[in-house]
Formats: sequence, C-alpha cells, structure tokens
Amino acid sequence: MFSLSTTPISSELLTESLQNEKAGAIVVFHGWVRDHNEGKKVKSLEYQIYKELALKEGKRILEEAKKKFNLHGIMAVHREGHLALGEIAIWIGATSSHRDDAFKATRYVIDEIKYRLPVWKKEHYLHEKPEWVFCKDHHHHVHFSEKEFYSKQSALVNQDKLKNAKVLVVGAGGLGCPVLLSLAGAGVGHITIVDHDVVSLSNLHRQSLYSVNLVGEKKAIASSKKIQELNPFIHVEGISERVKLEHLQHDLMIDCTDNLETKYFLHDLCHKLRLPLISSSVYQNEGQIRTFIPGEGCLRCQSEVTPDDSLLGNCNDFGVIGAVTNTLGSLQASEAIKFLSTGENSTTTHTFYLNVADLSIMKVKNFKKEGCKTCAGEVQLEEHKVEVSGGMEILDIRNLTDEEVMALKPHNVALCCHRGIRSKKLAMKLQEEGHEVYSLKGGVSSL
Amino acid sequence: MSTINVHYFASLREASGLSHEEMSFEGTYKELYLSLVQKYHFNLPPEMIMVAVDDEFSSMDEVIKPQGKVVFIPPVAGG
Ligand SMILES: [Zn+2]
Repeated sequence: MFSLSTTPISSELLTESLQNEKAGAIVVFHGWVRDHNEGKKVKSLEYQIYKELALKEGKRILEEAKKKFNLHGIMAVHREGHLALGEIAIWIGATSSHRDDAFKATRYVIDEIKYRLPVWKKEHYLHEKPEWVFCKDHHHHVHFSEKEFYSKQSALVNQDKLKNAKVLVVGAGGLGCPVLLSLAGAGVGHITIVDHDVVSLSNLHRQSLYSVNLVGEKKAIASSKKIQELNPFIHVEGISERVKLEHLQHDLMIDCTDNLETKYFLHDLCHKLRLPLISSSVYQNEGQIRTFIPGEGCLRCQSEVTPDDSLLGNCNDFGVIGAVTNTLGSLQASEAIKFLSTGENSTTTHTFYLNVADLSIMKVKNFKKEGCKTCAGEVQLEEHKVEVSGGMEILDIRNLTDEEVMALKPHNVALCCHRGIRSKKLAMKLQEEGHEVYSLKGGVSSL
Repeated sequence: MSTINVHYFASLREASGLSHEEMSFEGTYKELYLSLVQKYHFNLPPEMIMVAVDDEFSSMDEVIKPQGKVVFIPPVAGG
C-alpha cells in the first residue's frame, strides 16, 4: 500500500507487484528530482519525513482513492534521505478495468500527497548554501524556509553554531518544558530529551508542552514530538529512561531534574566526562541557576557531602507555580543559547539567585578550591541506584511472590512492598537482568 | 565583637521567619551556623549549607570577616 523507502525505488518490481489479470490498465507516476527550483540550480536534494504521521496519512490517502475510484490495486512509495538528480522521489501506481479510473486515482494521490504529507525537502544548490523547504502546498508554491524561520533572531545569535550543537536535556518537567521550547525555537540542531516519567494531571499547570489528552504518556516521547512539530529543521530524540553513560555524546547538558540525588549524580558525571552543565532548581518563589565548566569550580569545592533529599522535600511537598519554573527554565535556555553561540555566559562565574516574589536578585561569585578532585575529573560515580523516593509509576508487590514479580519483567516502575526491603532485593535482581526497575525507599509506609 | 548582616535563603528563611538580621559573632561561619541551628531549629547539617560572604562563595571553615554580608544557602531541588 503506502510505504517510505530509504533506498532507490525500483519501478519494475513495484509494477510487477500490481499485476492483475482483471485490470485493463495501469497508470504509473514517477516524481523525479529536477535540476532547478524557483530560479536556483539544484544539484541534489534530501527528504526528511515525519514518519509516524506520513505513514498514517499516506495510508489514508490511498484508502480514499480506492473509495472514490473503481480500482483493482493502488500503491505509493515515497523516498527519504539524499537523492541525486533524476532519481525517483515518489512512485505511484494504480490499476483498474478501464483507464479513466487509474488516471484519475493517480492524479488524486499525487496531489493529496504533495498537499498533506509531512515531508521536508532540503535542496542542495549549485552556487548557494543548502536550504530546507517545506512543501506545504505545491499548488501555490508556499515554501517555508529555514532561513525565514530564524529571521527574527539571526542578528542576535550564531545560527550555525546553534545548528551544530548537541544538547542533552535531562528532565522534561517544569524546567524542562520551557527549556525545550526555547532551544527548539532557537534552532539547537540536536536535542536529546531524557526523562523516565509519564505525564500526570498535576503536571499540567506548569508543564506547558503537555495537555490533558497526554496524561499517562511518556514525557520524553510526548515532548520530543511537540518540539519536532514546532521546528522540523532540527533533530530531536526522546529517551524514556534514566540517564546512562551511552546517552552522553553532547556539547552541553541541561539539568532540569527535581531531586538532589539526581542533580549531584549529573554534576559529578559531567565533571568526569568534562561536559559543561547548566543546572537550575526552584524552591517556592526562589530559583537558582549556575553553569559548570569542568575544572572551573564545582559544588564539591564547597562541600564533599551529597545533600540528602529526605531533609528537603520536593515540588510535591512545598508547592510550585508554573510562572516561576517557566522563568527559571527560560533563563537556563537563554544561558545555553549564549553559551553555545559565544562560548560564554553570565552564570559560569556567578551563581544567580532570583526571588520572583519580591523580584530581588543575588549574584554570588563562584568558588574553586585548589586541589578539588571533582574539578580535576577524578570522580567516583555512585553505583547505579536502586532506590527512588517516588516520581515514577509504582508497582505494588505486596500480594505477589518473588517468582511472580520476576516473571512479570516489569519495566520503568518502582516496586513497592511493606518496608522497601524485599522490593530492593528484587529490583537489584531485575536490574542485573537489564530491566529498568527500582525500589520505593521505605515501602508503603513512605507513601 | 564584629557585627555582621546575616541573610537566609529558601527553607532557612522560612524556618527563621527572617530574610536577614544583624548580629555579633566571633568564630567561623560553621560555628555561626551551628549557633543558628540551636536558635531556629534548622534541620540541615552544616555540610549541606553553602555560605556566601560579600557575594562570593566561601568556605564554612573560614573565620568570620567583620562587617560582612553573610548568606546561608541551603540546597534547592525543585523543578
Ligand atoms: Zn571542584
């Protein structure tokens, strides 16, 4: 029926597959890569396709054609990736008893595909820089170009540096949402989102990438779709897991998590890998933000001790307002854009404290201790953790035997038993088998 | 005795009910913090607190500078 192909299209094979003795006609349409567009010499082009949507929409178009016309068979294939001049970009074939239906159906399908399929075309010109063009409406030649997308900010940033940058955003919650929106809009070329949580109703008042219909969906996936829709000129990847070493092939990490254990883990990890980090936290009306450049001062310069989350509480305990997390997240994004564009920003030398209630600001000069091991990259990362204090889906195992839990092979959940002892033992076993499973610290009594 | 201006941040502000206060104290910043733990029942140990003196981070083990502005900053984790 409808498919996408990364390899050259073979017209013979496709024609053969439509063979039908009842058919009196076959009409085949080839869309080719031509050597010019709107006065520019084209030497090759590249298609980027929003696959999930394209496959659904393509299938729908062919089904419509089958209803409208009297057909025996219909098939369409769209190419993706890099194509040379003269290659088949799209192949459509329709068979019918009488030629008129096949002609009309083919025409219908190509027009609808051009109009409705989420396909982006990057044209490589002979004498100019390549450009992405969105063929939203071929009838009227309305092209959305990448250059125009960024036209209002181009005087303020280094667009090429942003485009080449790879940024990892950990946490797609209250801070993560504004960070992701701003980075995607600014054109950060590669954005990876890591978050193992799902959207809940009590997130929506501050996490503007989500809506009621997304409750229960994975945040990493939902947020990556949303920002990809906002800016199709960038690459976005969503990973619904906890951060692992293999995720880290980036120029910058942005910490948007909400607990100290993870924040310190990311801080130490970045120092080990010499990866710059922009970190922010919010407490009621107050927020803080700092950029860490490994070797130039860190949290361990001040104290070796990792603070204990249980002494502090989190958003669930002390409350949080969307306007405040949005403000701090926007500052993180702004610091990231400055840093990626110019190599410097204001929160490298100073930690910035903002009180949104009275609009007071405090800037504190950062401190580097001579001989700090973390600054030198000599970091002993803590063991992969087993215990969590919430923030993920819970699986109650009180009425299940050990064997039953192991057989369930749970994924991305925290096991919960009476006191958190049996759940810890089982979570460790399941982790050894490669499952993303944790134990709720303290068990039911902590809920 | 040296007079200092002590500021509280985030949860310390809530626990003390004050944004800042003047006081006299001699010793290190850690000793000052421990005396405030007594006074306001702060639940965080000094190892978890950052101190800023005249808008620069400092070590809790430093001796208090006279007439300085001292800010105690607890770790913050929401987002
Ligand atoms: Zn350090």
